[in-house]
Amino acid sequence: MSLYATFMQNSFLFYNHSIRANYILERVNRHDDIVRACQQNDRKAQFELYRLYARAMYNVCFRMTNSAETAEDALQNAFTDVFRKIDSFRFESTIGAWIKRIVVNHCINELKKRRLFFESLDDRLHASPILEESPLPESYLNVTAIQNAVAQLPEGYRVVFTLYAMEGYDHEEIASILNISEATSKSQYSRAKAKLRDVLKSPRHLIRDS
Amino acid sequence: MSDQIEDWIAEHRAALDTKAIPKGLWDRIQNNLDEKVPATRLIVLPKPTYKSWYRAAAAAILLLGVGMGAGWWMRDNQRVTPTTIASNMKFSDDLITAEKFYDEKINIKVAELEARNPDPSVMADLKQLDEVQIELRHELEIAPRSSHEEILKTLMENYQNKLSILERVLEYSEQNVKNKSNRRQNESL
Repeated sequence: MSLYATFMQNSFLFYNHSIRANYILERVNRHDDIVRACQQNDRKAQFELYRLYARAMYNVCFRMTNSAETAEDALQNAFTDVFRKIDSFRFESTIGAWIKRIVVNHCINELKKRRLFFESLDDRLHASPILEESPLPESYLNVTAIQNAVAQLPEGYRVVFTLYAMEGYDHEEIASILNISEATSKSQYSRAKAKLRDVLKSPRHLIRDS
Repeated sequence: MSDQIEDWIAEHRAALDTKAIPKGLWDRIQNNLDEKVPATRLIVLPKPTYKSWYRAAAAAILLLGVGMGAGWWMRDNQRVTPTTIASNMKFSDDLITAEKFYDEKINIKVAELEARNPDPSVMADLKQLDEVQIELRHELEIAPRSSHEEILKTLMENYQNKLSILERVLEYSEQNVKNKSNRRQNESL
């Protein structure tokens, strides 16, 4: 490794460990303060909490509902709930995880209102088994391609896939959130992945993405 | 067995959050919060009589009158005064001056750094700070006035952080070039 590269790496690590670590620590500590202020109904703190999480949570909503309008409704109701119920937050989990759970529940409610969600979960429960396939070419995987492909999944597949692969819930948690069995969650996830591969490989999808 | 799609998503998770928050959402949440949660207690009303209907009608007319009066008064008092215009102008002027100051300094440092062919990770981090800046400016447009001070503070801190990173990286770079040339001189002696 050249001296210059070593220097760059060192400076980057230095930057990483000093500025970024302090920044993150400060942010984490500040979140507790923000939450406590929110518990006192402080509007400025409520806005700060919204500012920190709204964008990520809006993206969760959009992926789950596949509609900007529904996502907006879900997020609006979810944040209203967050601030109304924040007194019950006991600092046992991170505030982010707590907010996300409320957001996810609101998305499920919005989907139930549309009466699409559970039909698609039940209909595909006994579909044919999935076969192992060869890896996809690297060029098939990019942000737009994945977003478009996920958006094309049937409602039930998309929700389970989003919760597992993108939001980090395990099948036990998904089963509890969706009120389904763990086996259903696993089977929906496998089928969602197979469908996703099909969509990613389809010529129409490739043409649209390019 | 590791899964190609899962691995890709795990690696690029942050990049998948591409949607921006819809404008006006915070205002609607605030409105929801300001609404009183309806009481769940059941209130038993007495059976209405003619007298109570008259009383209710009189109260409604009175309420309407008070409401209209308040409306007129508020309309007159909500006119924008020169003082509010001046304070808004001062706020935006200060921001423009500060941003111009930092932008000039940062652009010079970035040009210096780019000339030294820097590690892409440093440039990627600087780009991330640029994105934070864009987000903060957007928030400044949509946030309530009471939050402006805090957002401006964060915006200025972001500029300072960027400048400080650039200065530090350039300082290290210069130091290394000097060390290298000293070593060469020593070797040639």
